[in-house]
Amino acid sequence: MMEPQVTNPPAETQVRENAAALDEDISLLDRIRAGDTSAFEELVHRHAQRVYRVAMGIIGNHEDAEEAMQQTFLRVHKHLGQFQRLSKFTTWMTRIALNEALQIRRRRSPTVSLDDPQVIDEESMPRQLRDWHDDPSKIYDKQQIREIVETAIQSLPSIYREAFVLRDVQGLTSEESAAALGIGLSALKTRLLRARLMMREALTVYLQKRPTLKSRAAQIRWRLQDALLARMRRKASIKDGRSS
Amino acid sequence: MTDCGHIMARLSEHLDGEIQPEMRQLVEAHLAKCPCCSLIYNTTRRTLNIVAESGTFAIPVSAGTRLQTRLKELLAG
Repeated sequence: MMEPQVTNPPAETQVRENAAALDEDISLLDRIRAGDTSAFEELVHRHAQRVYRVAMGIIGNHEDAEEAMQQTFLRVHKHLGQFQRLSKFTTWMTRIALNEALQIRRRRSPTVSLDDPQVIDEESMPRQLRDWHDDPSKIYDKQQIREIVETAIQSLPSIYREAFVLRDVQGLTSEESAAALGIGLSALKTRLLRARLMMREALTVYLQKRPTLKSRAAQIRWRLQDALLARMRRKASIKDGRSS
Repeated sequence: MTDCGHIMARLSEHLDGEIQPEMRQLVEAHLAKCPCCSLIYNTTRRTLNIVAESGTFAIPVSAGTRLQTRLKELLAG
């Protein structure tokens, strides 16, 4: 039986909290523009965790994440006059943080970018089909779970990691994540799907129950069925290609 | 025909509640009868909950203090 969706605060509560947070940011920005230096300290204190989390998610080491965080707030301070309030302040700031983190990561280790995947293909189909232990806290303590999660995030290819960090670690909406990354909503959703499936595969290694005969049989049946359907789709597309 | 590959492609949207009602019904009907897709759906949902509750990439207290000090120096200079 299907279980409920991801636990989030009730929609109305979240809307009220978001509105209050927006008001607080706007008030701080107005005070900074009026020359109140303590307001900038408050702004930094208020958003340091958010910026650090993005930087760590993208770069993966504390020293560089700290540098990215510092550069982000310097840029925020310098370019505050350019913030037009067309988007949320946090989206604008997250985009700056993301760019700073990406710049530092490129300096440290230049990487090859991947094309946007358009559909889920056979390579992305989940491989691990064992059920998980009901309560991970009975196997691992909090620190171990955090390390498992952080290692799994760092193992994601960069374009998937960026989408996952913004949407599922930082908690931005899909629209905000797409805006911060400068990509379309459809591309964001495709990257997010792959990232989540990869994260699931990575966590399964730590959280899976011991295999049973039943789970092994189900896994074999599922792979055979999937291979058969993939073959049928390939045949159909070849046939369509010939007839057109 | 709704096969497992099509369902996997919609899994993320369903988890976020960002799926069209008709597609939502198709996904839920498939999940109800396919134990493998149901397992993948539930463990992906649990993945997101574990990540959200793990306190991943928490900023060290010392890093927050260093940041404020450094920013004051840089902005004063």
